[in-house]
Amino acid sequence: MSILAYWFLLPSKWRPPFLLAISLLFIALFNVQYIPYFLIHIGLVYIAGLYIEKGGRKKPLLILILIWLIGNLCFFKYGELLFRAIVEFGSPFFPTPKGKLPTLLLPLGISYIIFRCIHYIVEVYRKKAPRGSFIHFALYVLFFPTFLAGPVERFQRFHTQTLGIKGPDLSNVNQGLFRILLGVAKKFVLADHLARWIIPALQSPESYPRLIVLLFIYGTAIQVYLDFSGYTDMALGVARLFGYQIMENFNRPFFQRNIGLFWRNWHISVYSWIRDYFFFPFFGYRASTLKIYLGIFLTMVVFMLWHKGSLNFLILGIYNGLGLVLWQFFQEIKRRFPAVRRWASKPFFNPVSIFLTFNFVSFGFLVFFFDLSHVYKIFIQLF
Amino acid sequence: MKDQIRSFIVENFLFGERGVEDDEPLFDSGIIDSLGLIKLIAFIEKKFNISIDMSEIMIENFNTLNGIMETLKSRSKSS
Repeated sequence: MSILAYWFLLPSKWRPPFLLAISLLFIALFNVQYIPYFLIHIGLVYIAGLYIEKGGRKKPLLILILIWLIGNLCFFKYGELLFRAIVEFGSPFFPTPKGKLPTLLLPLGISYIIFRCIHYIVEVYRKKAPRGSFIHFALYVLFFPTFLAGPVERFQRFHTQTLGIKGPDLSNVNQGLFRILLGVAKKFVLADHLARWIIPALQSPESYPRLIVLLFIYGTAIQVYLDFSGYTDMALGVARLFGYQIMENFNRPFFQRNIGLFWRNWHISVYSWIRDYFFFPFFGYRASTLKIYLGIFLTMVVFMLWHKGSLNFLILGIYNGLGLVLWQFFQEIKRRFPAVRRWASKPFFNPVSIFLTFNFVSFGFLVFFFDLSHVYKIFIQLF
Repeated sequence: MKDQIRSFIVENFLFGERGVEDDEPLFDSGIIDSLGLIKLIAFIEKKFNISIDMSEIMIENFNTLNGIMETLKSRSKSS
């Protein structure tokens, strides 16, 4: 109904506020309290953008707003974890609250919202993005197809599309519906069934031969991909119904020939966000090689901890961060030793690299489902 | 300038095994990665004695040889 109203009843200038209203309604379905919280953030960022654009005290304001945004994200994502750690480890040294600890209400989609806000304010500061109207900015942040799980589209691309949407477009609707169906099939048919089959089986790896355990491990990686990319397909499909082409989040990640390429093609919108707003500013500007390697490692750790503040994801970050650093060392070896380079450029090396990369990431993805002691148990059975 | 940057890319990232076209995507095709971009920027700054602002270090600005030249041109216009 809303699609028909959007294309046939509303003049184009009313479409953005209409989409914003639908987005707010969508958020209210989860919890109406999120709306004022998000609108306060969006309002503050927009006002800061106005002030920065007019050439006021740009840098202090940018820093202040970044601290506010990152502080909010850390408070909601990691505050409870930190509080529990303080209570647990501090109890022998100082009085700590007894009984059940309060649980923070994590606003849904907060990290995506904060990432969009940070991207917007930094790009307005750099004069690389237009400020846009408040409605357009709020729609960009809260756009309901991408509100829950991304992708984190870039403002300039989104804003251009908001301004450019004219008449009804049947091809967009067709492609959107196809993408939604593809996402539903990936997520609800393949990923969910695969999870129901593989995860219980890996609970008792000792019951299966090695080869089957290995196939189950590959299955977990494929399950994570189908689950997440299925969500992305649905989000992109719904956005397309309303005339928006949102950036892709996955680009054949399991067919990449090294760990660096794998991560550049997995969850692209967030990985590239962390690269642009964490790696380059802190580690990528006139840095020593050591600092760059440290940056590559820490970027991966931050990327993983962004998914979830837990020991499992910390280990996953360290594992992949070390993988990326080792890959860079190998590149250096190739550069220095022509014999290694010749060997690495042989035709058989490409499929072997793809296979090795797939194995490396598949083993890592086990921590999505199992605690570390169980992952160890699976490896014992495998090796 | 363009040919010197091209030579640097060919020598350091393609090991002299093939050339690179003006519009060939460097980042998207995996020729250079984040570390490669930092090395490329360090080379440009040193070789041509110019200073590239941190805000300009974006993949989009350095994804092709033509894109690099555009970025450097617009930089010199604005400075």
